[in-house]
Amino acid sequence: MRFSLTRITLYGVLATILFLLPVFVKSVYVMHIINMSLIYIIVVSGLNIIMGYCGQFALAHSAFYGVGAYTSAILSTRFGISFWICLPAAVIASCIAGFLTSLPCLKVKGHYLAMVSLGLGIVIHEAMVNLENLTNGAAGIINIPPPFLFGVSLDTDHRYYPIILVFTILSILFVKSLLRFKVGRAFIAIRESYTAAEAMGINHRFFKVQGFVLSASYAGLAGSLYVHLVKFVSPDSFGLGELITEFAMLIVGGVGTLGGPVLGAIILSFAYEYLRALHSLQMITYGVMILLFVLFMPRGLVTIKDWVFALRKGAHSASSG
Amino acid sequence: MDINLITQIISGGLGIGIIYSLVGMGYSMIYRSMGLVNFAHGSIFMIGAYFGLVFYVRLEFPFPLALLLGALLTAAVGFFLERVLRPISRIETLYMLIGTLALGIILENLALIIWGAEAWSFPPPLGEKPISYGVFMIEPQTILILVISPLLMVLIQVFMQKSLTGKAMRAAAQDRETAGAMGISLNKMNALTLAIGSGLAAVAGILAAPIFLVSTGMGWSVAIKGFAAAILGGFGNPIGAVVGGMIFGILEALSAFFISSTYKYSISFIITIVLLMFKPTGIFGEPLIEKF
Repeated sequence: MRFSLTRITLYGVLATILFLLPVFVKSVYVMHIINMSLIYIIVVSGLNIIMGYCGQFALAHSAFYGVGAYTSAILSTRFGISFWICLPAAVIASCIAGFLTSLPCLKVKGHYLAMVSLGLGIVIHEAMVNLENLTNGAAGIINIPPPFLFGVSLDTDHRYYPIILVFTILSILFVKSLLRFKVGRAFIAIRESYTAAEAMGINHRFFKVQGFVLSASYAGLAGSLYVHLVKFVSPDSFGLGELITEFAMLIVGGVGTLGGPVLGAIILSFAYEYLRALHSLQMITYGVMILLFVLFMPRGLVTIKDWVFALRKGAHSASSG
Repeated sequence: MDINLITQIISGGLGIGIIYSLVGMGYSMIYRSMGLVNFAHGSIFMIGAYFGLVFYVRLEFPFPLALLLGALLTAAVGFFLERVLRPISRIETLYMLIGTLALGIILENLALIIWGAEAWSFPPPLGEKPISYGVFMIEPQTILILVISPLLMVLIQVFMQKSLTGKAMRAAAQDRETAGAMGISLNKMNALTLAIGSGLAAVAGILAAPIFLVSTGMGWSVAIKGFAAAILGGFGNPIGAVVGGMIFGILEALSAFFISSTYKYSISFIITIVLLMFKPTGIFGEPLIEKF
């Protein structure tokens, strides 16, 4: 990493713009979509760790998201515990769920892994519906308190935004640094070839468990941020539809890239909301959009960057030549 | 314990299980033929059920005719879907999954526009009164499922083994390049496989319609359980999918009765997963050598 002056200025300006966004965005609706996009960046970055970097079909991610959300919701409504304690508790609970899920997943590969993780996700989802004493069943939990910071209630999208933004930035930076250490490199080695990774002395079981736990911790963090934003939680938010959304965001943005989850989460969150104008055609258009992305831009939106570079290079060589 | 009740539970579970088998068979046939894991298969099941509903309830055709027309029409849908699925089948599994899921969303919402959001009831063609025979007690709809489905499975098996087209389809699935060199059109064979798989799913949908109610969302749970059936039997093995589906259905019925009806899916999934721990590539699956 080069710490050039231009680079620092660039990041400084970017951060300032990001943190001042609520000043420019007046609409509560738009602010809510922005907050949801940020939460999805965290969720999808987590999915990217296990699916993009580690190359495992882990289809229980929406269930981990739900575990985080419910942990935070139950602790804050039943016991009146502060958001700042609920949040780490939610992360830990999701980590435990991720750890337990990873154990049977070590035995199977490919489509079989997809089936096992999907099945375990369904088991967790069914527990949310049926553990009525704890989760209030299908009706869900209402009146979840907003977070407080220095005595100020962060009860609007505008006020809550900076907190979510900080966690989102930290999440992205964490993935970025992960790739520079042994863990991240081991993940990629396992994705590229099991056999080669093992031959290099990488204990793929150990790292796969780590991958599951790490990705689940992201889902837990996002789940906690989510329930304190919408102040309501029900099992409907963590079903198959949710899993498809997260999955689609990852693919549309770009699997196994740092920027992919960011682009995918923002584009699909806004697309989903603004396609509502099409009424009954909303979901069809959404589906067609995902399908077209998969077929014509399988490496995701991040590849646009390469096009821009290629264009600039082309223009440069044309002018110099 | 009442023996009547037990036979009723097991036969009911077997009936539902065969529905999963028919769907799972489609998964495995399509996977073997074009290497495609088709998560849109549940939506095809749903469309089949709607076609059956249109012919049987709205147009008041006799049930056998409605079943046949529904299956043929859905098979035609499957045949033309090959054109959409062809490019999806050539990309990596990860993209394939999301591509077929997106197709499933598209089909589901098309159905929503055509047939509306309400759930339709489908009157059972043989009535609702359970038939008792000595100590056996069985629902008439279950009898219908248990008679038609095995017949259909045998028919498909004979077609695949004996007919020239069936042989060509198997050849194309086994070795694409050689089959292609022998003048077999791979795309046509894939389209035929998709048509047969879709027809099977439609029969499953129409037979299950009196049990489930017909709605646009009915496909997803069957899509997952049919996939579970195909995986449990060994992915890519249609006979394995039949066995896997029956096991899954019976497990579901037994756990609903003996353990807890609210956790019946969890229990059947957990048992399936435990079975996979002992046989990680399914009951009839060959060991995986490919790199994932």
